[in-house]
Amino acid sequence: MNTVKMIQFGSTLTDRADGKKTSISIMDKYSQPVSLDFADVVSLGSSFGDEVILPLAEKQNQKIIVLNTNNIIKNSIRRIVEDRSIEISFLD
Amino acid sequence: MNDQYFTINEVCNLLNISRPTLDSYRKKYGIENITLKGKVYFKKTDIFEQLSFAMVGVMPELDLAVLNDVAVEELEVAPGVFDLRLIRSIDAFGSICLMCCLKSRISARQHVYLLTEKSSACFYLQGINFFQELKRVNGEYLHYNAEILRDVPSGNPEIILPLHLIGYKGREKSILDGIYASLRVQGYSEDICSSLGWTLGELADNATTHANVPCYFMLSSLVGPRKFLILTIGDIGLGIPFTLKTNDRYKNLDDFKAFISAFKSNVSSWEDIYDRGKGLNDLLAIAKGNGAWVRAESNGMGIFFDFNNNADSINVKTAGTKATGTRYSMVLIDAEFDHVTKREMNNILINYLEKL
Repeated sequence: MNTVKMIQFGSTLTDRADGKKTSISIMDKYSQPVSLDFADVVSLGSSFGDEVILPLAEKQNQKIIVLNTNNIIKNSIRRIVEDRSIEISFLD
Repeated sequence: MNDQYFTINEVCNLLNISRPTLDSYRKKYGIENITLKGKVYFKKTDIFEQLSFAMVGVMPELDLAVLNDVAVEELEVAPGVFDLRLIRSIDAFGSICLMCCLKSRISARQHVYLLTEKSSACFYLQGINFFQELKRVNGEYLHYNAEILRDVPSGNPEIILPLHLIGYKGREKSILDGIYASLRVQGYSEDICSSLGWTLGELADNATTHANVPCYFMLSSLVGPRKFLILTIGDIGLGIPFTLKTNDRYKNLDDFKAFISAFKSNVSSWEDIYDRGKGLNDLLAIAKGNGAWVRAESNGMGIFFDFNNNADSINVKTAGTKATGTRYSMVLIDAEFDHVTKREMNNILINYLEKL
């Protein structure tokens, strides 16, 4: 499985438009399935996360592995997948 | 004459004094005048600064702070004249409300006169680059005596980041990149830095995307047994009720209900198919998970969300300024940040809305 180092997109991952661009970049450069590595990323906004996690989950049988998330990024991801049948595995 | 000068009659009318009284003031306070084609004119700044006592009488001092119920327009002692000497105390929220109020006037090409003195409030404003930022809006319409504030002591230990303009989409990210390391060196946790980035990202995105205007941002701290960060941000855009009601689904809501509804998840001015509108719900969820509080105001309506000790209370506040647009101040406590679901947050808001 490919691992996407999210820090390449910035340490503050907010803004829906930036999330959309990031999602397109991930889909173009990496063959799925991928895991998302948040090492050194400080913040993740849920609108940015929506654009990355939801389309990826759709392509990966509703499963995503995320690595190296701080507590707040975990909270953000939990809010993103709330009310959706997406299985998130947090590996620290 | 241009807008910077008064005639004798204008001064007498403004101060509600007779011509002989004005003459005695001119003599007593050494007010200079210029004569053009036989007519006498006074510089407005001279009149305001030296005779304004006669206009204001005994005015109460004002605390322009996030927990108070004062609008900055109370400083306006005559049309366009803001007496900053009346400020007893001011914080980041008061400063950004004042900035938004004055910026809206100057942007509308109205002359603004600021009466200043060597006071702690004026020093505070000078220290956060308030006057410089205001001058950048349009210096031609701003009048104040900069000499009074020359060589004031600079630096306030509570200010982590003075007034910053977020002038374009994404600008806040480079600001945050510059302060994360500094906050960590000062002992702030990774969790509070992460929450700050998330919150500021959502609010700045709201301003630059939905309101389509630049916004002002300040970061300050509170001294105490625990570490606190206070994030304050404001713009003079169209305001939440106006933008939300451009979505047909919400067009019949009254403005206050529209304002509160905007904090529910998936409520947005954009079409529902975009599944937008999480940012403000995130903001409250972070505050609730942290036992903190948020003050918000839009288009003259103010609200205070208090989650301290699970209070989950929502109370109306006087807006800090009558200017259009939206302002927020949020405290972040360097402690636990529990996960709060959208459903939990929505339930608190729905309960409040049902009681209105």
